Amino acid sequence: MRKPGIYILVVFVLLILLSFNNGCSCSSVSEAPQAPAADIVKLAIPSDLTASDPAMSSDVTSGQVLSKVFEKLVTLDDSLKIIPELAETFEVSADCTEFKFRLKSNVKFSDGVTVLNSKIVKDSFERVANPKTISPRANLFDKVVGYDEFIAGKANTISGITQPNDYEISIKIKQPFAPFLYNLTMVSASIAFLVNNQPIGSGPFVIASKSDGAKFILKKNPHYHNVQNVFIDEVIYKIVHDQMTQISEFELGNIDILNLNTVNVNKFLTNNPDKFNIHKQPKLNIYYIAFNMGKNIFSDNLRKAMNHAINKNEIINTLMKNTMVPARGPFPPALNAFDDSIADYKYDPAKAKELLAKEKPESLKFDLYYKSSTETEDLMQMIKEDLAKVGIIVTLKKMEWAALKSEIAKGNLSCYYVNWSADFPDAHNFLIPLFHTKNVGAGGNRAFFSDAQMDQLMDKLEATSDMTEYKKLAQKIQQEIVNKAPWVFLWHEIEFAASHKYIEGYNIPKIYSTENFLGLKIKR
Amino acid sequence: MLNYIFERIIYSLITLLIVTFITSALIFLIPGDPVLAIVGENASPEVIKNIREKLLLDQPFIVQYISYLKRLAQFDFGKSYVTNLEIWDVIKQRFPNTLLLALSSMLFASVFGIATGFFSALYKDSYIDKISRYFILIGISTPVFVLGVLLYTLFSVKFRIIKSITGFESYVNLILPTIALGTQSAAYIARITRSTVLDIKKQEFVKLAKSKGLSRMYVNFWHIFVNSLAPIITVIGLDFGSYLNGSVITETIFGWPGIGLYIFKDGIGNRDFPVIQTMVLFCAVIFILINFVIDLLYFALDPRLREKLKSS
Repeated sequence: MRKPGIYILVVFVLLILLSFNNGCSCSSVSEAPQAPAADIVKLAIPSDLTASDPAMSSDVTSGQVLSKVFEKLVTLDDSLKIIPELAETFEVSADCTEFKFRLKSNVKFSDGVTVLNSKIVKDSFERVANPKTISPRANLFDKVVGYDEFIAGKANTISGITQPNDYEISIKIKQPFAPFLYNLTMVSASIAFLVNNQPIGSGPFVIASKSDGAKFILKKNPHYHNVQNVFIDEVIYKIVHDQMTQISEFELGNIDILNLNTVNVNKFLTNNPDKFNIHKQPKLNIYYIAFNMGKNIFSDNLRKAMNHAINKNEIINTLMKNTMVPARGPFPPALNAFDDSIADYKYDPAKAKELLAKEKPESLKFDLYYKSSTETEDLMQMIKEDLAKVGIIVTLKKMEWAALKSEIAKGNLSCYYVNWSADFPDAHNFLIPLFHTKNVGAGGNRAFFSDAQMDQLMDKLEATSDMTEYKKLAQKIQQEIVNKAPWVFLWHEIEFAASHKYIEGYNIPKIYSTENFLGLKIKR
Repeated sequence: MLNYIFERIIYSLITLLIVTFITSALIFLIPGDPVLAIVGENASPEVIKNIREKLLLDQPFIVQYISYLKRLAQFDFGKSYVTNLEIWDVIKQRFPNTLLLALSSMLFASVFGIATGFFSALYKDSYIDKISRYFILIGISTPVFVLGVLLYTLFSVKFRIIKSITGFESYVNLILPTIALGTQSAAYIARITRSTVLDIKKQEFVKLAKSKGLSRMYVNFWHIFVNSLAPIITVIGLDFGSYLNGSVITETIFGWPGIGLYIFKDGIGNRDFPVIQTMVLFCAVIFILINFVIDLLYFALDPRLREKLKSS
């Protein structure tokens, strides 16, 4: 009488084994997915669009989408050089305080009627700056002459933005600020105007159907000024939160291009050798352990010892399977100011022990906080073990991300593993938000690092207009910061994506705000 | 009966008021700052301050709570901090999806669960009973996320029976999420049906009916099945909550655009306070309504209760 039950159990277990035998992304009976009939590209994104108005956009997901719908005056090319987008040409004054743009004359917005002119550009910038808009990126224009009067309500326009004629616009800033043009490459600086509260742009695509929670669709903008280079009729964004589901949908051919989380890259590559195109791109970001310098509980030696104690190369080779590159300072290798000759911290447990010799034993015990996720669990254990080898005993404490972020911003925690991604590819973005006193806490300076001399140097950097000088100074500041060790500099991520063989002309953009799918094709 | 309904409505309103207070207090107490979700990584302190003031987040709890109640009194459910969309519009768009999934899962669980439990009890200790009991054991102990992944791996990736895992272009897309969400409930329903039917089978009136020479099918249906329905319906109704809870995970796995995903990812993940407040309140209203309907059904099905109410 017992036999049937046992058979059922056996069948059930076999089914489970059968379906997971390839680590959940099995395709043993699968044929290669066919190219879709129409020129439609399907993508998966992990969360819904938080903004359809570039003025309100502050996250990467929305930025990637909106960069296909809206254009900026200037953008970045593949080598991260600033190039004109809606501007025909631009020039920067010798003292780096005035920026003049000549607009393209053949640009129509997606409504098919409105033609680009300097008034639209000025209104667009003022809409972002206007406190009533509550744009999270209002500060893009805070260096422009007349910004303070405008936001205080004392002036109707920003006096520093002028329009000598319909096709020229000029922006004056209060003092030299070399990276100002980078501000204008950000998605929030897109040129758009509102019709019935809906933003209208001039990019290669338009939002054809709004999100229903499952997907939204972009369609080719027939009025786009460079339409001959748009080969895709429709971009469908599927909102799929779970990466395992994303991968399965990709293998089924329901998704054409897929961004891979670093933890899944190797499993994916092992399961699918040579079946798909794999794309790689070093990201402009940094992962680090920050010490809360405001609390004054970590001595110089302890911080430096931690930098020597963690075996970054081994963690990257074994656990992260080379999806990261070790960090030597805050600047990632893809940054133009990256300095190969920097004096950094080598893995040296003996030196770490030596540095810790005079430390009180109680100061070597503290909590290390991190964001709870599948990616961080094993990693934090490895870090803990490396630290224990030199006598530093950390208690690992995980927190949900929103909670961790806010506790760090309030200065309640002492030591935490976090990361930072750049909005624009300049040394400024890896120094001022992260180490300047004015940005402590929520502004980005999570280490509450405050050093008058460094602040002065960073102010000087902002005001430097000579780019050779600028690079030298940025590298000097980086070296000083590395010497002071407010962080343990850990690693920079490499982004991975997979695309089907029928997709042509896809590359992961170096920075998300430049992805516009120009030149992307479906091979027949 | 009218008095009873009136009383229930008053109690429900008080419950909802308590729900709003607890939700708001919890939101105020939990760590996490919605402004940091709005501004993203790279924002200036002035912008953060400006947004905090605009959203009243710099005000004490009681001010925030009263302003929330005032809006609620005007049926203004607020806008999401992050997306700036009217929350009510999102509910209108997404709740039908969750309801569709919940109802289809409920239907699946009820039909499958009752049938399994009923035949399992009728043919106690037979093969059918053995198989059913294993189903109950496996069904109850398999979490939704395991079953969900297992189902799409088998039926989509492996055997290509269902071509697309996510989205809801056709009703075929409803099949896997329905089974994932409904299986655990089906197992519970099967268990309760089995024990209820076994219990009723032993009752005197069943023996009497059989001894009167009524056909086996007639007794099985009219005397055993119908009489076992009341507790089963309670379980099905009370379990409706589990469909809403379970929908969070099912919707995440299958990319189903319902409210579970909205509460979890958009609301809690971003600390989008108005979304959390409104969605919790909305779910509370649904729960109260369902309990109310179950009570009414109970009256309809159980004559003893009707008598009790009349006499009181």
